[in-house]
Amino acid sequence: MFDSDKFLIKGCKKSKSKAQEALYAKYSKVMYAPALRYVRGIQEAEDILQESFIKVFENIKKFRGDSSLPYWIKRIVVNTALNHQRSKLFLYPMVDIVNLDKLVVNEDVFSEFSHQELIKMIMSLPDGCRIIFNMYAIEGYKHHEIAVKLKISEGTSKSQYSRAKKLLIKMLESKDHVKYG
Amino acid sequence: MDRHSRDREPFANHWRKAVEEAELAPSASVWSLIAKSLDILKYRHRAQIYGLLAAIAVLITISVSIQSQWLGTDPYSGNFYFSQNGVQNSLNDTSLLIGPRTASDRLYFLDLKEKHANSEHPKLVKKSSLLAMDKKILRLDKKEYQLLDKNSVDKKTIIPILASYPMLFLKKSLIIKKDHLWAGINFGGSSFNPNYEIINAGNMLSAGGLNQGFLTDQEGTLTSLNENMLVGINRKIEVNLGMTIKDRFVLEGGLQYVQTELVQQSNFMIETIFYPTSRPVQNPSVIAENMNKGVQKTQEIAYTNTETELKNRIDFASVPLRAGFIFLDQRLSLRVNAGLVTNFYLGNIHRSLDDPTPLAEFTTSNNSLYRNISFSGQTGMSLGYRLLQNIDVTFEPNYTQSFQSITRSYMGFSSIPNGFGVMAGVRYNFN
Repeated sequence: MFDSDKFLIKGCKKSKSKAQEALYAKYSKVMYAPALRYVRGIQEAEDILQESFIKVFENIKKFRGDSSLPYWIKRIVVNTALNHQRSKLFLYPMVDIVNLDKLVVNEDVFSEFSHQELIKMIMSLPDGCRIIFNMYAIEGYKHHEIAVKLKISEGTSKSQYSRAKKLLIKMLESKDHVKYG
Repeated sequence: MDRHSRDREPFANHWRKAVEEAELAPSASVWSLIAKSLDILKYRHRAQIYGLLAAIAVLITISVSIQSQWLGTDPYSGNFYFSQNGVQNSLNDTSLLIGPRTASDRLYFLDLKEKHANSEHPKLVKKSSLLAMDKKILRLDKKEYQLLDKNSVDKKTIIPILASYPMLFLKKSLIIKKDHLWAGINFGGSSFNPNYEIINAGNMLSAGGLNQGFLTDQEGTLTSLNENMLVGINRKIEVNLGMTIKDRFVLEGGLQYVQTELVQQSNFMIETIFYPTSRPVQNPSVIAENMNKGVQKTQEIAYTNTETELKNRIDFASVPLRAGFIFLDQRLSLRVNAGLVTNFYLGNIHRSLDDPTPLAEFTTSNNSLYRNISFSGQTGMSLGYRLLQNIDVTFEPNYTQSFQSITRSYMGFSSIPNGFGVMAGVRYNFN
C-alpha cells in the first residue's frame, strides 16, 4: 500500500512515521548520489541527505504534485547541497578556457566505471568547479542560469566547467579510456 | 532532470547518463537521525501551538476585559426600563446608580424623589405605595411596573432606555446574588520548558544519576558530560470544585493528572568486551570454566562515547489551589486566577525515540531523580460561557512557574520548569 507515491505523500502529510520511513527507504539511495556529488566527504553528504529529508517531511504539505515526487525531492537535495557549499564558492574566472570541442570522450568509457567510481571522480574535483560541473552537466542548468543562481558571471561558470572537464578527462585518461580528437 | 538540450556538448550528456541513475546507500544512521529530528520537531511544534493558543487566548481575554470596561461607561449599555417622561435627561449624570437592573430576573429601583426634588424635571408623583419604598424589588413576571397609573407614567412611553453603570462591577452593594458552587472538568496542555542546568555533575555518579558527569575510559580518556533536556509538553486532565465568595471572589481547588513528555539528551560511555577472533570455539561450560581460571585476561575492551536521545515521560498528580477575582459574570464570564500547585511525582519512563518499549522505569523512591513533592505557581484568565442553565464551558490560558527544582538537589542538575498552557472544559453550577 505504501509503495505508491500517492499513498506515501498522503501518509507523510499526516506525519505518519511509517509513511515517512517508507518514503525515505524508497528514495534515499537515489537522493544520496546527488548529495555525494556536491561534496567532498561522505559525512557531509549524509548531513545534506538528512537535512533534505527533514525539509521534505516538513514541507510535503506544500507539495501539490505539479512535478513528480522524486524530482521535487531532488530539487530540495540539490538546493540544500548548494546552500552547504555556498560558503565555498569563492569563484574566479579562469583564464585558461580551453576549446572544449577538442576534448572528446567516447561514451563507452563510462560503462567501464561503476557509479561509485564516477561519483568519486566528481567528489574529488575542487569545490567551485565541482558545483558548476554538477549544475551544468548533471542537473542541466545553462551557464547563464548558473550565473544568476550562484551570483557569478557567466564567464566564471564556463571557465569553472572547463576546468572540471579537464580534470575529469585526466582522471578518465589515467585508465586509458579517453581518446582525444 | 530533463533540462538537457540537444545541443549540450556530448561530454556533459555522457556524464549525466552515467550518473543520473546512480543509487548509493547511505549509512543506516541517517534515518535514525532523521527520525529523531522529526520527533523533536513534533514536540517543538506542539509546544509552539500551546504557546500560540495561550497568546491568542490572552489577547481575547484582554480584549473582552477592555471591552466590558468600555461598555460599563457607555451611556447606552445595560438593560433597564425607565420612564421617558422628562426623566431621561437626568440620565446624563452617569454617576447616578438608579433604575432597575436585570439581574436574576429582578428589577431594582432607587427612589427618585430626592434626586429630583430640586430639579426642573417633572416629579414622579407618589401614586402607589410601591413607589414610596426607597428600594423596591419588582418581579418582572408579575408585571408590577404596570401598577403605575397613567398620570405619573404613561405606559406607552415605557421604552427601554440604555443607561450607564460606571464601574458597576465594583459596586457590589447593588448586586444581590447568592454565592454559588460549581464542579468542573478540564482538559488541556502546556509547554514544558525544563530550564535544565548542570549544577554539580561530579555528584551524578555517586547519586546514581543518568550520567557520570565525566566519563573515563580505561586509558583515562575523559569525555565531558553532555546532558540536556529539550522543551517538551504537558498533557493535563483536571477535576475541580469552586465557589464564589462575596460575589466577586473565587476559591477553587482540584486534582490534576499531568503527563510530561520531553526529549533528554545524554552521552554514555559504552564498554564493549569481546574476545579475539582467533580464540577457538568452546562450549559454554568450558568458557565458564576458563573464565574462572582467569582466562578472561585475553578479553579486549573497547570504549565508545555515544550520544543518545531518550524520550522521558514524567507523571505527576497535582493539586491546584486557586483564588480568583471575577471581572465579568454574565452569560460570558471572565475571571483572573492565581494560585499554588502542589506536584506529587508519580514516576517516569525512559524510551528510545523510535521504540515505545520502556527502557527504564522509575518510581518514587530515594534513588529517584525527581523530588516527591514540588511546588509551582500558576496564574491564568478563565473565560466562561453559559451554554445551558447550569452549565458553562470554560477556556483558560495560563502560565505556570515552578518555585523550585523538580529534581533532588544532590542529583547534579536542576530543572525549574515553566510554560504556557491552555485548559478547556465544562463547569456545572449547583445553584
